[in-house]
Amino acid sequence: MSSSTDDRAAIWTLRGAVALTCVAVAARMLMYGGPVLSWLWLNVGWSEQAALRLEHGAAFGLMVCAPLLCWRKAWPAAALVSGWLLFATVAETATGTWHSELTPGALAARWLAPVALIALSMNKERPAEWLLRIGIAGTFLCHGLEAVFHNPQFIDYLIRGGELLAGTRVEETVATTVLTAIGVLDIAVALAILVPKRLRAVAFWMALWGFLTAAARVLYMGWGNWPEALMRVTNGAVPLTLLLLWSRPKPAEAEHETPE
Amino acid sequence: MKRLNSHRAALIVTAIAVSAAVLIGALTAPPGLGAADRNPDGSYVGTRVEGTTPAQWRLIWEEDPAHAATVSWTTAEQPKKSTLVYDSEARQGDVTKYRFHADATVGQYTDDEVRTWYNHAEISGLKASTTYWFVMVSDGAASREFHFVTGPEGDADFKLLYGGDSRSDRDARRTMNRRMRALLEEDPEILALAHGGDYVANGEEMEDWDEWLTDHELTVTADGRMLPVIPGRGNHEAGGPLYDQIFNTPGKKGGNFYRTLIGEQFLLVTLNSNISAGGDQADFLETILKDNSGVRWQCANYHRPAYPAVKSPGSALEHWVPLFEKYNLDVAFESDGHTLKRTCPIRAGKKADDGVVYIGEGGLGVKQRTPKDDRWYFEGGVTASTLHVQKLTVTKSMLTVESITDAGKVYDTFETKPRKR
Repeated sequence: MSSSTDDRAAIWTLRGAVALTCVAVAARMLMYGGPVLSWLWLNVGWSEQAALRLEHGAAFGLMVCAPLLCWRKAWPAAALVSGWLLFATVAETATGTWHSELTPGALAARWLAPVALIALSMNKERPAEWLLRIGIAGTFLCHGLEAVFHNPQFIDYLIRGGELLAGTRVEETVATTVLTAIGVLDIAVALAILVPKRLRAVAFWMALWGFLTAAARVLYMGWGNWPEALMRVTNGAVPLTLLLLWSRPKPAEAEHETPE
Repeated sequence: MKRLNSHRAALIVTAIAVSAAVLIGALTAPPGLGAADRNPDGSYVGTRVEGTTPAQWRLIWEEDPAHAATVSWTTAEQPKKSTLVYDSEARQGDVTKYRFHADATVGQYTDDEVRTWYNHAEISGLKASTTYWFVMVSDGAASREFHFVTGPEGDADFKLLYGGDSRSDRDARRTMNRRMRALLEEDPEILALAHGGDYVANGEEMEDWDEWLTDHELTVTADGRMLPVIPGRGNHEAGGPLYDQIFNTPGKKGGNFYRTLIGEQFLLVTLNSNISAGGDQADFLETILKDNSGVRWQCANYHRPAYPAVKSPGSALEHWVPLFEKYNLDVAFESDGHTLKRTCPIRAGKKADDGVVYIGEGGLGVKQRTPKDDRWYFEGGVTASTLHVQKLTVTKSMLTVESITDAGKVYDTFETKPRKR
């Protein structure tokens, strides 16, 4: 595969993931309301109507941004998307209850992916690569910590997953033990992806696990829960982008292999 | 230059497209509540927490309200000795005349700033359907005389309140506490309040609890009758030790799920939607519902809804609803959404005459949201954006749930007859 093809695949993977995130976040806000509504209304003191207007406006804006991200000049849309996702992350941190201090890190792949997309579309590959590494490391590290702290939702995913996939009811103690192991593994790969080497196996595992755990939301509560799954698509797409970027030789290697 | 122009063009196109979309979205947003819908402030000041004077009183029911209860209070300083004196006759607060006493467990609330002390006096061996009069005493500082009525034995008729989400809007919380006191004063058959959780905005901050506890004094009637609380845990007090320190660890530590049997024929299962729903708690729920299949009325109380009026469904939908349907639960009480709701009867994800009805969503003192009343399960049900409390009337032939607004108006009435199990 030529390097330009790999680059194109990487950038389109990221474009697609950020666009899907826009659609999912917008759908979730329209269907259930989002953290910005709760924060502005309950914590900041806005009227419900004003907070609703802002969220609905943002939802429509995100839906327009989704196709604009596929344009060659995607940076203004990507900047707006990143800004909103970061704002929503701050709101979720302020209104969240269970270990909400982990929220900015847990959602790092989501709000950093559009920033990486801006860098990538401007041919700033090295900063883009590190934004992607930091984003996915934050997501895996904080989800790993949530697993080690035994996030009850994760326990229920394992119990339900056992029932659906293996037809066996997993005991809570077993699920808790498995969750601890998953958490430790998540933390380990989060640290590994920050090693300044192209650890393709690590990126491959993160992509696989990221997509699988995003899909678990649909497995758990059915197709009606699709926004929850799609909102997490960057958890798999970000390491996949790294993998695609790393699929071609480093510049030095390329020079060595194809001397002019 | 050409490159600069293309970037500028991209910026302009994006700005126009996104601005237009944002404007359309904002203009098409559904109507929400305005500032005029807020409740006016009261001017209440609760018992001052100072020295060892008992303040922030509450009475907690857990599994056996006919025979046991916990009376709890707060003191500013650590008392050397705290005691509850009580009797089945009024003694006008003369602590030497009460026939019974129970020493209280004393400990400090876990908080960096508010350094006050909890006092829990557990009393047991009580007689059913009996008025008990009591005084809290900490190092000689005594409260006024209060009283409460124990739960019934046998197949008895009674009334109960249900509500949740008393957080974030103190004015509204005080209004609803006054409403509950008024209900209790006009209808002495009301025995207790089952709380669906989210008492405070941040359950790990004693400052928030301090306000809630002081406001809770407003539920006491003018003649000193205390409204027992059957507590459920919400997501805003999901973490930290304060919830257990406030309510004396209802259910087992780390779980906070338990069953309350009021009389022989009314079962209330309090669940905790902040911990795994599908693990030990599902086992517990199934065991309780199976073992009590002969009980006429069966209800559940938990915080995060299976059939929400605003947000997305919680784990209850996957793990508890199948058990509710299997054992024909009468009503599931849910909070969290900050709105008033009653669903149609639901079975297997569809409207069904023999289904389970879901009531509540939390209106005890938080700003009310606009419900999404176009959801399928509200066809034949009710939604509204109003502060509220539910009053349950339990008789041998009918279970009635009235949703009562902060103004005292009955907004909705649901009635159901005993069902076969």
